[in-house]
Amino acid sequence: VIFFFKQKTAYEIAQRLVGSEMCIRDSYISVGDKGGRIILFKRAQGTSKGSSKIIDYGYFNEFQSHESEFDELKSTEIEEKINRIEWLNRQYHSLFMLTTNDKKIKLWKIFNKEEKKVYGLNLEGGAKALKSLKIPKVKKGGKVVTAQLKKSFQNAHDYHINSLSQCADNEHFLSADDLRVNIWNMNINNEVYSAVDVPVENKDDISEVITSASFHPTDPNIFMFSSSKGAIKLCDFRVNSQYDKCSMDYCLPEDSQKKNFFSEIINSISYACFTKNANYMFSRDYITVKTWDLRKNKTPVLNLKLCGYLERKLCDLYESENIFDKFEISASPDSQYMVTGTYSDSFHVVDRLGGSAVTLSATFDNPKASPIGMYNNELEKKPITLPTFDFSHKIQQACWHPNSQAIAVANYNCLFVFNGSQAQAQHLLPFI
Amino acid sequence: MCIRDRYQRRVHGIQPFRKIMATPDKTSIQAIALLIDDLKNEDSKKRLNSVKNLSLIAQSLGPERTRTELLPFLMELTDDDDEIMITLGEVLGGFTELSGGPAHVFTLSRTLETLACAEESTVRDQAIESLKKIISTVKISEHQTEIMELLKRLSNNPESFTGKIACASIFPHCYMQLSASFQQELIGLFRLYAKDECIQVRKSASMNLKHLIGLIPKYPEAEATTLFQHFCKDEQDFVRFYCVDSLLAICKIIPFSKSSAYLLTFIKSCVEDKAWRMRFMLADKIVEISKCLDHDTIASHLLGCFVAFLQDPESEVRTIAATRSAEFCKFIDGSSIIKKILPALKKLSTDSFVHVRKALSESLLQIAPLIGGVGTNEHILPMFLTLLKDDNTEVRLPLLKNLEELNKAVGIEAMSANLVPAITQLANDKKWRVKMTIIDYLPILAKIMGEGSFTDRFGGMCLSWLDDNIYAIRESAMKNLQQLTIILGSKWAEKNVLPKLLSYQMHTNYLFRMTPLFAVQMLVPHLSQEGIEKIIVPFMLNQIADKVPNIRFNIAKGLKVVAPYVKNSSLQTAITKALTQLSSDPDLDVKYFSSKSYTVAQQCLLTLSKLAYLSLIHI
Repeated sequence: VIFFFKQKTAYEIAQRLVGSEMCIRDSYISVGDKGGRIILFKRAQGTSKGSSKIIDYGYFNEFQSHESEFDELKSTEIEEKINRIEWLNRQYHSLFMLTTNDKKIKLWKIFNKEEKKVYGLNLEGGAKALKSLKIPKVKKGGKVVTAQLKKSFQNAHDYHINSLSQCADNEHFLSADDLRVNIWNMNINNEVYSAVDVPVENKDDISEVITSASFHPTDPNIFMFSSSKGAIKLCDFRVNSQYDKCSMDYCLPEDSQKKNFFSEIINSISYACFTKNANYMFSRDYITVKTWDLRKNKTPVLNLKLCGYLERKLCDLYESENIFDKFEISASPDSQYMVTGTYSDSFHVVDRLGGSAVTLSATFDNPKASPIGMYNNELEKKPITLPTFDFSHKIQQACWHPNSQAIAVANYNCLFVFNGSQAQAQHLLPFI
Repeated sequence: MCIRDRYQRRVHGIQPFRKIMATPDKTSIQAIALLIDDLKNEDSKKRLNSVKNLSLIAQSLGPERTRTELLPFLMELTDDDDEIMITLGEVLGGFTELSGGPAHVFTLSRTLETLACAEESTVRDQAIESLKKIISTVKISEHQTEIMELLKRLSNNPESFTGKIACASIFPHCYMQLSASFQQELIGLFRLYAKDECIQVRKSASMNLKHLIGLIPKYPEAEATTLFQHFCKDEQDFVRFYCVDSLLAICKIIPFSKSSAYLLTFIKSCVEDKAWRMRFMLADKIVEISKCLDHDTIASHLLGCFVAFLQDPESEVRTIAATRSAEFCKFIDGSSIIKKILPALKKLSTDSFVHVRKALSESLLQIAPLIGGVGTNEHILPMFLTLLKDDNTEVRLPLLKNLEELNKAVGIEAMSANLVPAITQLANDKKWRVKMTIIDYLPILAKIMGEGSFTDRFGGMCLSWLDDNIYAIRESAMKNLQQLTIILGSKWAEKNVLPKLLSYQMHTNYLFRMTPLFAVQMLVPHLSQEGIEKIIVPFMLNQIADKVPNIRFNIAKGLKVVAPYVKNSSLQTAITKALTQLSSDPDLDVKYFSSKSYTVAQQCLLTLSKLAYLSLIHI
C-alpha cells in the first residue's frame, strides 16, 4: 500500500537550500542553508482533523551556525555552507544538534533561556557611593530560545565532511569525509578515533571514496559506510579494531556486459541509511534504489530502477554535469517505505515490499499534492517516468519524520511538508 | 566605566588575591564589590574570574550572608557556559567552612545538586565530586534524613536521568553510616538502576558496583553478587566492561572457594565474548586478579585464558596481554611458562603489528629470571635475537632496558657478538631521540661488560657524541660519561675521557668549546684530587681570556663547582685571582657569575688556610 500524501506546509526561505541539509526530530525540523544558518521549524499544536493527526510545522527560530573562514595553511576559503545536521537523541529537556560545514563540526544546545536582568549592582553609583557589599537582585523576564555553542570539533578531516551520525550510546558520533571515518566522544574535542582511514599514496590514484556513513540505530558498535564503487561496508567494532577485518560488504558484482562510459559515475552510492528497525539498509545511486537485508550481503532484496528514465539522457546529463548530483534517501519509521528526490521538482516514494512507487511534486501550484505518476511492479510493465524533464529543478533532500507519516522536502529555497493518510490512499488508489 | 576598568585591573592582575583583613579597607571592599557585580557580567571571562574568586566574596560576606544571599544568587549561574559551571562546581566543593561549617552543608548542596543534574557530563562529574567532598565534611550518622532527602531529590529528578547517575555515584560514599532502614531503601534504589531502561544509568550503576562490593558485609553479599551476575549478562558491552572491576573487588573480599562458581562463568564468558574490548579489559586486569587468587586456581583457570589472549585475533588484546606477560608469569611455575606461554610469545615476536612486538620486547627479558639460565638460553635468547633484528627501532630499544636480567641468566658474553652490531646500528640512527635513548642505556651495559671490553667496543662511540650537532645528544653524552665515571672509576675517566674532552677547547665554534666546561662540572665530584688539580683546574684557568662571554661566565660557574675540591692553597689562590680578574669583565653576565663564584672560592681559600694553621699548631 502506498500512502497518498497531502501537502500541508510550504515555506520560502531567503537563502537557497540546494546542496544543504535538513533533519527532523519529533517536533522540530532543522534546515541548514548556504549561508551557514540553521532555520528551525516547530510542529504546530492542535491541528488534528478527525481521527488522523495532521502534522504541520511553523517557523520557530534561526541562528548562525557557521561563518566562512580562511584556511591559511592551504590558502583556501572554507565555505559556511552547512553540509549535515544531526539532532541528538538525548533524553534531556533541551535540544542538542550537531552541524557541520566542510571542515568544522559544532555541537549546539538549543534551549529556552530565561532572560535575567540584574539590578542593584554594588558599583552602580560609582565607587564613592559604596557603603557595604550587597548581592545584586535578579529580575526574571520571559524565556528566549537560545542556541549555545557547546563544542566544536575540527582539524580531523583533510577532505570535505559528508556525513554526521550519532551513536546509539548517545556519547559518540561519527563524521566522514572522502577517505576517513572519525569517531568522536561528544565531550572530547582534542582526541578522535579514526575508525576508517584509507591509506593513499598518490592523490591521483584514488579510485574509491566514502560517500556517506552512518551508525546503526540501536547497536553502538556497528556502523556502515557507502562508497563510490557502489558498495556498502558494515563494520562491527566488537570483532576487531581494524575496520577491514570486521566489515561485511554489501555489493552486487559488476556486470561487464552492461558496463559503459557512465557506469562508474552512476554506480556511486550517493546516500545510504539504516531503517529504523535496523533490519535493512536503503541505498540510492543515480538510477536505482536498493534495499539490503543486513543478514544477506550477496544480493539486495529490492533492486529497483527507479530513475530508469534518466538512462537515455546520460550524455546530456554528463554535458551539464547533472550526472554528479547527489540524491539522498530516507526511510519511513515503519521501515517499509523510502523517499528520495529527483528532477523536475519531483520525488519518489517507494514501497520496499512490492517495489511499487508513487511520484509527487513539491511545488506551490499543486496544493493537493496529487501524485503525478504511479508505478506498480506487479501490474505494470511500463517503466516509471516523469511528465516533464527539467534538470535545473531538482530535489536532493527529502526526509521522513522519525515516528509519523510525514515527509519534509527541500526544493530550491522552499520547504514542503507532506502528510500521509492511509484512508484516502485506499480510496484513490483502488488498483493497488 | 573608568573606575570599573581600573578596579578590574586590580582584581584581574593580582593573583592570588591577598587575604581580606578582619576590617577590610575601602579599596578591597570595592574590589570585592566588583567581583560580585561581575558574577552576572555579559563578558564570560569576567564571570569566570568572579566565580574563581568566589571564596573571597564569601569571606567578605561572612557565613550568614553567604547562605542567605550568595548561594541563592549562584543558582542564576547554573545555566551558564560549561566552563563557568565546572568552575562553580569545583569552587563550591570547598565551601563548607565558608557557608558556616558542617551544620549548613545541606543549604550549600542545593546549587551543586542542580549542577549534578546538568545535561553536560563534564559539569555533572565535577559537581558529583564536590558533592562527595562536602558530604565527607559532615558526620553522616547525624544527618541521615538530610542525606536521604538529597539522594532522593537527585534520583527523582523529573527532567532527566542524569540525577540517577549522580545518585549512583554518591551513595556508596555515605552508605556505611546510614541506618539499616535507609540502607534497605538505597539497596532497592540501586536494584532499580541496574535494570533501568537508560543505558547510561545502567553503566553508572555497573561502574559503582565495585564500591558497594567493597562495603561487604555491611552491604549484603548476596545482593552484590546477584547484581554482578546481572551486569555480566547486560546486552551492552560498555555496561559489561565494569564487571571486570567488580570481579576484582569480589576477589579481594570474598574467598574464592565461595565465589568460584559465578566468577569462573564470568571469566569464561569474557574470553568468549564477541566484543574484543571486553577481552581487553580482562587481559588488562589479569595481574591484579591473580594477586588475589592462589597458584592452583591461576594455573587451572587463568593460564588458559591468558594464552588465549596472547593468540587473540585482535591486535589490541595481544598487545595488552604481551605487556602484562612478565608480571603474570610471576604467578606461574617455570615449566608451565616454557610449555604454555613462551610458544605463544614466540609467535608474537613476528607479529605483523608493531605495537604488539614492542610490548613483547618490553616484557620479554623480565621473564628470564623466572625460568633460569637453561630455559632462557633455549627459549628467550632466540626471540631476543629475532627482536633485536626488527626493522622498527621502537621494537629494538626496549630490549636494552632489561639487558641486566638477561645478563644474570645467561651472561652477556654469550651474545655480545650480536649485541654490539645491533647497538652500533641504533646509535647511528638518523632519529636523534633513538640515539639519545641508546646513550641512556650505555651505563647499564658498562656495568655488565666491565671496563676492558666496554672501552674496546663503545669507548670511542661515547666520546664521539660529544661533538654531535644536537645539544640534547651532547648533554646526554655528558651525563653518560658522568655515569660511566661512577661505574668504571676515576682512573678510567682520566685515561680515556679527559684527553679527548679537553681537546675541544681548541674548537672554532664556541658552542663546542662549552661542552668540556659543562662536562667538567658533572665529572668533578667523581674524579681523583690529583686529576682535578693537575688537569682540570689548569685547563679552566687557561681559557679565562676566551673572546666569547658565554665561555667566560661558564668558566666562572665551573670554578665555583671545582673550588671546594681543590686542596692546594696556591692553586686555590690562582682560582681566586682568576675570578677577581673576571669580576671586572666588561660583560654584565660574566661579572655577575664571577662575583658569585668569587665568594665561594674565597670561602674555600679561608678554610684551607685555617686547616693549614691548625695543622701547624698540631705540629
